Amino acid sequence: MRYFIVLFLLFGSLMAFEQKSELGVEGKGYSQYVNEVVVEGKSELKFDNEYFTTKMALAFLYSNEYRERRYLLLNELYITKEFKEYTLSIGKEIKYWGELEGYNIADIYNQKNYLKDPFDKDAKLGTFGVNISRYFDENSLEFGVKFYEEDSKYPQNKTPFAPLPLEYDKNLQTSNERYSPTLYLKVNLVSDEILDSETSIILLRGYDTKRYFSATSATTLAQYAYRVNKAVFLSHIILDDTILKTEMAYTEVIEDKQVSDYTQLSFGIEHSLYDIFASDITLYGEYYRYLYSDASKRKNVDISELYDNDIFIAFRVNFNDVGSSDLKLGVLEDIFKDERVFKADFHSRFFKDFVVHGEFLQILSNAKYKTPISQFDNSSRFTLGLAYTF
Amino acid sequence: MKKIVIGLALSLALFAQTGEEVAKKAYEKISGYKSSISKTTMILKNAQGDANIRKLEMKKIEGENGDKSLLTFLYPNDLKDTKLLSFEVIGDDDKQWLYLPAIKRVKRISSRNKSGSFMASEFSYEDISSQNYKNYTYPRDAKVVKRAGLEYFEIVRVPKDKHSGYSKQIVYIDTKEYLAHFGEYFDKNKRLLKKIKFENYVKLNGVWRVHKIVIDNVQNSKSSSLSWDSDEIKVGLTKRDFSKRVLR
Repeated sequence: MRYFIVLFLLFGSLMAFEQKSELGVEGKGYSQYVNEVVVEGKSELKFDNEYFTTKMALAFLYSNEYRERRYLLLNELYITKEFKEYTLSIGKEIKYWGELEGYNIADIYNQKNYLKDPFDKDAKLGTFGVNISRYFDENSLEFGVKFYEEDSKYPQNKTPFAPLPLEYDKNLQTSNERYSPTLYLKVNLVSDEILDSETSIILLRGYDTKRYFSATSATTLAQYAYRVNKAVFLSHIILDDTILKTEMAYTEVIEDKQVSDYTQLSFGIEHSLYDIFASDITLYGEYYRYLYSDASKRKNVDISELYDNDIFIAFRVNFNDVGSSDLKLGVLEDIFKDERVFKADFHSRFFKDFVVHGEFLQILSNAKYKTPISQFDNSSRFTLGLAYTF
Repeated sequence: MKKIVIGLALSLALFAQTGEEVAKKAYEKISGYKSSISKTTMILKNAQGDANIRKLEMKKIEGENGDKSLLTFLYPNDLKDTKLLSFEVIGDDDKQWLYLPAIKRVKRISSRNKSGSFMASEFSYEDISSQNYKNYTYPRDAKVVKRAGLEYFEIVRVPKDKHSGYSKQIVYIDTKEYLAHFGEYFDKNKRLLKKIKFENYVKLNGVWRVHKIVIDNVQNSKSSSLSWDSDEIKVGLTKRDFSKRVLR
């Protein structure tokens, strides 16, 4: 890996490159844990020449309080080459597959970065792979291979929002060889004949992004990855100022006896209101369902299982001011288990290159049910941060 | 006597034109660029005169049923690499996709937001779109008027799109080159909302290009300007440069 980076930097010195970086500091207050100050940064480099484009993303995080929340991560490093209607990409990359705002069932290419924030669906870890896309006007076909499954760090039982009762062993356990590739095919179809819509179907065979924990000793737990066949459907339809969205997935577990096959469903509606006191307001309503084919097998091992009979209601206000200020408020409500997660988030730019942000997260769980969220108890956190962008 | 007859004939010829004929000629003057790549700076000023800067790269390609454009935000830094891909559809809603680089998401957006502020400026999305004459109706003939000693066609155009933020626009087009120089835009309540100026015209490869647009919102006393730092036309972009594959 080191040689790859050196080679990359050497190439970089011979080419035009662009960079984008951010350096920030955050104060985080917790209702049930010791507060912390976090220094966080990321830097993205893009190298372009007439043959290919290379992108690299570095991220680091340093918590003054929690040793586990300290990392320097090469989160992306990939090369892209375009040939007429084809695009080839190879390396460590983050992709976004999804339509909904609260949670994306279809977003299965990358593992989540739980050390950064288990409640941020966009905090993800890069995955090593290769993929080729063929474009037919607006439609496309993509075939990809994920090379292997990486070890994944996880919040330990001494860090905030740590659901584990034992010490965490970061060495991933797998049902097959770690280097068994995961294959996927993604078809994307756009139509404006009857309805203005876009649909994607993803077929995947290999390791599931959902994992469970298994004991590696009397005092430690490790993540366990198993292989699956998965079919994912995602779509949106535009109706005036309203967007109807859906994400669905069926997962057949190939070799593991502990977890059941499962079906995930989600439906969403997004409606935009423009120029309300000079601001734009977008309203979101979403519903999630998680169905186990065999209810006697292991349940509630992953955050994705939280989204079962849940309604997500949110709105976003874009203030259309020079600071590009933006306020998001949302609640995830479990219909039957009387659990809810409330989140508020605010961003605004000032002095040209500084961004201030605040966030409030509150978890109201129900100890009666052993869901992943019940292990967080009733807790809340408050974040205030300042970032410099350059 | 001959001069008077020629002048009268010319005046009659000018008066005889409908608003649409003038608008079509004006549109033809700025059409034919085929495709373009421009870098622009937008300056936003509030009522107190405090300025805020945005920088954009604009790629455009002409099309029979509307132009396609790809805007890449270059500054402020927190918006850098955000992209907006727009397909204008004459007589229908445009199609727009937004690329959010921080999360690598391509998000389809509802494009009825014609009247909404573009990048927090006084420009709306419809102000920065192609200005194709087919997007308007013209309720009356062009009038020749004098402003600051120069002759202009005064045309009144009404946006066909019911989601437009304007009830009508009065645009002043010079009688020699058929280029729009300034105008007044009226809100849905028929009150004057914005005054617009088109400045610094340059002829590139036979096509007139405006290189500065200034817009004053007379209702909130804010103003914005868009200046072209560089501009190239007929650069050989193809449909492929405006497909969703570029949103990454």
